[in-house]
Amino acid sequence: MAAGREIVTLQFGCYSNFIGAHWWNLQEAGFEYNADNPSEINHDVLFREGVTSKGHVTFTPRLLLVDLKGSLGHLRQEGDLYNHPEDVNPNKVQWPVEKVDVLCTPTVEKNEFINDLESEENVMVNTEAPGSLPKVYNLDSVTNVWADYLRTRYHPRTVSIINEYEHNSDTKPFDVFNQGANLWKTEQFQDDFTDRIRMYAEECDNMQGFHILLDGSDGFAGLGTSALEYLEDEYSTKSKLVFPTIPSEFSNTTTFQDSVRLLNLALGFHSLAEHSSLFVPLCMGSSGWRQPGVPRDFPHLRYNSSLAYHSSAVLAAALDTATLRYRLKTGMRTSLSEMTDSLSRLGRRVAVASLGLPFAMEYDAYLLDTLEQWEGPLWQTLSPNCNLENDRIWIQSVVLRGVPKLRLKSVQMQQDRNPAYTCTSVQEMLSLFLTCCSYATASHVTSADSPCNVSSPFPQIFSEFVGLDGSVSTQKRPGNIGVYSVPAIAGLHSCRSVGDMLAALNMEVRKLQLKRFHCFCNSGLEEDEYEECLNHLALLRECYNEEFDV
Amino acid sequence: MNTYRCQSDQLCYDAEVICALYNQLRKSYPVALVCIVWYRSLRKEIRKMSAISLLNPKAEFARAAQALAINITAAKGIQDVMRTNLGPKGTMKMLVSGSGDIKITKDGNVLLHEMQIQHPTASLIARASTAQDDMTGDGTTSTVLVIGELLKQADLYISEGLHPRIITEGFDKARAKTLEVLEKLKIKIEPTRENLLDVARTSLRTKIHPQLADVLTDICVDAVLAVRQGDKQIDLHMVEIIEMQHKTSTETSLVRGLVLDHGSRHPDMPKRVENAYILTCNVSMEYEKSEVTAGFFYKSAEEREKLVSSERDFIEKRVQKVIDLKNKLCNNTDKRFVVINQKGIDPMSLDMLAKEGILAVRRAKRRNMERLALACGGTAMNCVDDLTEEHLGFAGLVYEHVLGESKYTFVEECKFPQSVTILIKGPNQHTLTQIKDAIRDGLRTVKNAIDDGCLVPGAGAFEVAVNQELLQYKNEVRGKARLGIQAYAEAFLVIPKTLAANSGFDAQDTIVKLQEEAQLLGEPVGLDVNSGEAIRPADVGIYDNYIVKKQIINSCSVIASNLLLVDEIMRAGMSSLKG
Repeated sequence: MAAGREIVTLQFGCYSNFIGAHWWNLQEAGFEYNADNPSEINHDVLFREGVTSKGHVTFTPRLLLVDLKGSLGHLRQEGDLYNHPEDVNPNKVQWPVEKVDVLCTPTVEKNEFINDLESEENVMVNTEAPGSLPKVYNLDSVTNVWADYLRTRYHPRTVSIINEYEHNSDTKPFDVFNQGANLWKTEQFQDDFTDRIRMYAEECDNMQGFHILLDGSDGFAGLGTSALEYLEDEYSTKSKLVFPTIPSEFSNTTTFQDSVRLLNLALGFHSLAEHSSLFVPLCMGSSGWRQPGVPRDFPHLRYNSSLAYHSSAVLAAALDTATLRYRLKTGMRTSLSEMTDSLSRLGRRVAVASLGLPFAMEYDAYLLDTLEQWEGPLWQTLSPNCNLENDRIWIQSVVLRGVPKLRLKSVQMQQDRNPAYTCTSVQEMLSLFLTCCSYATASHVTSADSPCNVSSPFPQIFSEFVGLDGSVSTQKRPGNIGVYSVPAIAGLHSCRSVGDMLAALNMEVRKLQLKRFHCFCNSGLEEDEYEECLNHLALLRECYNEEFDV
Repeated sequence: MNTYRCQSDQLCYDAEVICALYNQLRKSYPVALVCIVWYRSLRKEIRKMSAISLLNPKAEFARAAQALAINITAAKGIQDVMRTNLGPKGTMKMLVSGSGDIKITKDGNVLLHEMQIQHPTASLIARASTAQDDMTGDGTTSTVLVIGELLKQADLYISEGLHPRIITEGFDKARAKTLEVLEKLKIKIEPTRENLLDVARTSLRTKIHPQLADVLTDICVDAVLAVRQGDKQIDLHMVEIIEMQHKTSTETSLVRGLVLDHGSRHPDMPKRVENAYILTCNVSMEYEKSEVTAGFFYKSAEEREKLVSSERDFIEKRVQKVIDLKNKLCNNTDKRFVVINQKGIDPMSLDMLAKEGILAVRRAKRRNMERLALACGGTAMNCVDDLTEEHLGFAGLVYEHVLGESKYTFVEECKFPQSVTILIKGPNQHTLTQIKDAIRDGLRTVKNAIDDGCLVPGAGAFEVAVNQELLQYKNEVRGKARLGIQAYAEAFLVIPKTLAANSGFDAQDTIVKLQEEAQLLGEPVGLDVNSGEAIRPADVGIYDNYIVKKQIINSCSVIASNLLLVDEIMRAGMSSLKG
């Protein structure tokens, strides 16, 4: 079908919004404004075109996000795209002026990046001199909320704020699964939110499905899965790809809080297994359940795992790359449902994400030689308690971006030396390589020419041996210049170690006694409901046993 | 700064000072040292104190008089915030967030939701108050005021040595008596438009500008009367509320029919249709993946193509059925056809429908299915087989209105609409929100009045009457409990007092005036907020909901009693109690 293929994105929770903000930035950085050279990526899949009341055309993410009160920083809830901020003027209120109390919260300071962004829009001239490199910002210390580095502007419908709970609150934290589930049950929230989903769905000519990012370890797990349940009911034929996320570091680390997070994850996974088409847990730590654990090590990245700004950027790069499979204009068109269906075969609803960032190629090397000389794994696992190295992978979907056909193989090379020399496309060559690397894995490979555009506000997390265009060399990059694009490889894999992941989760949860966690019982979790959830998790784990393999 | 008498050993302490000192010491010295400080002052407490401290050195305590002081301070604090909002002359609050979002309100419930209340006692009171709103839709500010005042009045006696338990006994007796008074004062009404207008106006005028309030009063009453079906329970969901950021707020209007917040998605579909059959259905008219799409299950590409096209045929047949019905009913007449679908309609199906001149809208609200059936008749269909004329609704006029990227579809001129729409207009988002909140409360007020079948005189008249009756009743009660009744009687005067103060009159003057007048007339007398004189609420049509008053009496007494009986507040491992 020609038109449409729209996807609606939902983000629940602070860390998910961090990832989301990076993801939209990455996409916007990839926009091609030159009509002669259209982008190979179909941005209409995730973005929508709109018109303001003044007649200006807008292009905003087809996105709904939920966060707690006080998590927006300088950002206004309805944005400033459709409505300009109003003056605070008591005279305009229809009420005797002497009877109007104005209560102002102190204005939130904007950082350099946001100020520049705003002034750029006001002047409406391109301040960049031709040929000069984009300005590099260091936002590590000034980023408190995701809005601090958000370049993309959201539609007024996008942001929902939960007024009942405050961001970073000690006294009334939003950290219990059932708090979220109960919040969904309130008529006000549900009516409002489902209406917003419906408004997006109504616009779509041929919707593919939903992307859902949710914080798996706090109350948003409950909220997000309740929303998913609703989607399953109302949009039953659409695919729902869910990414439960776990932050890379927690500020509160008592044993009790660790256990609460564990319970949230378990309850969330149970619900996801039931209602999603496919779900992929994401965490920059290697163990994830009680504590994120040792951060995953990327050979060419120097990121600070305690900063959500850094770790979420890596995850966003993985999402942006892995979802390219169904977001391209050219090549083999596949749909979201095709991918989720093939990866979730045999009830294996959980998949593992992976990322190679950058896809390490030397400046003038060819893909053929690079792959031939490759040592170690192509990618690093991004799902907790899993390791793709030496794992039995059944089905995988891999996307390589930023390697143009020109760099496929050297012309001078001897033709008979290597069977891979006969490959005529990046896709073909990578497929061949993957077939050789792993036994009996069904791989779906997608390749795209456009690299990942990682100029600011993407954090400068690349090691000094990564060049401006993401190539790896032995020479250091000049200190004050940032990397602006990198090739990347990302994949989603259905593999045996998911079973270990679920087994580890189940084992940890079994150690806990629900009775000791009053916050769960108080917010309405029944003992047998919980027991059922654990049994379901165990059943899900069974799906990953080899005996059931075809 | 207040001085509190400690019950246990009859010494006077300044609770605030003790709290501060305790906190300071606890921070800088080990627990043992702090206990010595307490030992000097509260001999009795020390043993229990140190025992718990041993178990959890991080725990924080507040006991007896100090606990009470904390509760009363909190109640007063939240009362002070809400006090100025009460009544039609209260202040409007304009809340500006750090990012410049504006919210304008004087509704107690909205304010409580906006405020981040940290103090445990205050948040308990706030919750009681929002529960009041959930139950009745009004009376939130009053709840906060009365709870605060009950504690304040009780404090006067407690500081003179009366045990809180005795006060709560008095409260309990007083509450029973107050409910009797309420029964006596309530005025039976027929649910006529005039009667309902009065109570709706009273409620709305405390929330928005009088001019706008009068517009909304008519709208709310007419809306509820329209959706009322005989003696059946009124379902306010059948009143749809749609916002339109456009023009001014006084252009808010009642549409006797339905307004959908979306329109047709095909350029060739008619924008305006008269005499239209309306088909409401929940049938997917878009081509979707079949359950097993993965290439795995097909032997060849052709086979897959075949499956896809048969799927397409299937959808086309569905659409054709609707078209057939239209042809049967509308051909050679002036009637037209409108399809409102809860599920999606894809471009191809839209195209088919557009060629036949059918107006089709997709993805309607789930609740609109029910509303449409009530507004224009017919039934919501789950399949398009065997459609007949009686399944269809009818509307005299269906047209589309476009505003920026939003489209609205008006379904009007229905024969007997039992579902209506309130179309809110306003220049900006915060005005729309404000009006929406007011309309919700207005609708609830009207519904309450119909459900109760009675009203209570407003303008503080009820509270003055309660005060008088209780003071008489006090003499019939023996023992110290009568002090509790006295406190209760005084506490209810906070409503007329605050009304007077907010309107710029002297509280004491007004109360005396009202009491004298009430005694003289022997009937309820309230305050005229414009002149400061006594009036009979019935003369000017100021009425409150019976259920609201009843709820206030019950919940305030219970919460206040509970707070009075608290003699120990503990918090383990968290920040200070005072926040």
